[in-house]
Amino acid sequence: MAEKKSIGLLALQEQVKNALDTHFPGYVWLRAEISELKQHPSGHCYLTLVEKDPDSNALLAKASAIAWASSWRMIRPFFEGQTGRPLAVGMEILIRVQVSYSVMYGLTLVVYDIDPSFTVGELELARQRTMARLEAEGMFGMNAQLELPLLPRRLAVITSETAAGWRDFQRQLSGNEYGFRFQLRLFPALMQGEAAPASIIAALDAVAAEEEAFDAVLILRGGGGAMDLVCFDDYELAVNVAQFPLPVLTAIGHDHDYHIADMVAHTHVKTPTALADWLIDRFAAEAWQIDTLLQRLHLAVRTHAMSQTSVLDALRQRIERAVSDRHAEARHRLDLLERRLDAVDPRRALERGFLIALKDGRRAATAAAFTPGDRLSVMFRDGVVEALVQRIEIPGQARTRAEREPRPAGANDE
Amino acid sequence: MEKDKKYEEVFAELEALVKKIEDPERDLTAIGEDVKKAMALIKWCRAYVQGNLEEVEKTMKEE
Repeated sequence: MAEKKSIGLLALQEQVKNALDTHFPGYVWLRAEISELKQHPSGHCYLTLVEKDPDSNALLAKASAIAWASSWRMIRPFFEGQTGRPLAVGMEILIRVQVSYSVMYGLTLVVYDIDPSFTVGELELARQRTMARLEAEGMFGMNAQLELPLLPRRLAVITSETAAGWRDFQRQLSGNEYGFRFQLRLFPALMQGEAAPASIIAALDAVAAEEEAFDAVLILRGGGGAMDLVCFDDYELAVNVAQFPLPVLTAIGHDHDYHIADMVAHTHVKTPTALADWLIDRFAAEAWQIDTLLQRLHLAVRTHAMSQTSVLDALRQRIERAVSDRHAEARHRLDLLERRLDAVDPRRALERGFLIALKDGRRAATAAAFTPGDRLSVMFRDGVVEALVQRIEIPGQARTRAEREPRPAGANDE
Repeated sequence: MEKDKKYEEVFAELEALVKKIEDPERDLTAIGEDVKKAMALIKWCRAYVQGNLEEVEKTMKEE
């Protein structure tokens, strides 16, 4: 039996190491997914990197990697600053590594650099895929179809009890200038990190169990850093928000953030303070409507009063005019009477030159009333002449002799 | 929600009443009663929006 050709373990390991060193003399840019990430107290970071089948998600390759403390303390803040989130399990990364082989510990990839833009792109792609899935499932607009009460007062609030945003929200709402009162109930939940979606979903379930007690549910976050908001792009959370039986109002981001949870919610505003203002404005608008009705009421009452006054004024004027007309008519009739009386006044005849004869102080209208020898008074316009009847002439008769020719009345009296 | 429905109904009633009062043909005697009722509805609506309806309703009952 021929002796088999063999090699010692060390020699083999050294050959492998030499082969690797020859084949990978420098750095390699490597795409992989983080399946484990452990930061050692010494400052080094140990990672397990994997590659999965994109269709079946089956594990295709796996390797250990290490970022020495000297590299890690630069890589981590650089990555977080660029992406707004920490390195986490499940994340696709692009890292610059050196392939290192130890005869004692085997293959290790030593991490020297990272390209955050790759991860941002990957996350955005994942986000787009989630959005497309939700769109296909009809989740967008589903919660928005629920009717939000005109005055949502009974509010279930899902947030972290220690969040600055929660304090801001309470302060803004309770300190509103109109004195509107709201009923708030906190349902605590984790608002960042991997566990956040499940924690928020659990809080939503708790609210749903008392659905009748609330007008709406609020998901608040704010006051913390901008990191780790990726949890609000979570598919399961989005589905729970979209299908929630009460309107969901979100205020979970900063000015530049717009998350999938916002998109599927009934209403979303940027910050908890802005959400408080939004609620207050709803109530203020309604109070304004009531004030407007009150003003219309006052105006209508004033208008009616003025209208009634005007009717009464018109009546008074009609009465005054009627009285005045009656007075004028009476005056006119009196004038006519006066004129008629004036026309028959004997003084007017005297003024026109006629004379009036009086016998025994009474007017004598005919010559036949006298007999010669009678005394008569003859009235002129300027005085009375006492006379004696000498002769009377009545056409067709001769009553007595004439003592003197009578003068025509109105002739020269002077 | 139900309470809000009631508020919306009361507000609609108030609005209709104000319209009626605004009608220049409205009888003056009736307006007196309309205004009294409208003021009571306004008080109720305001209390509802403020969130102190229970207190106001209690006071109204005592009155």
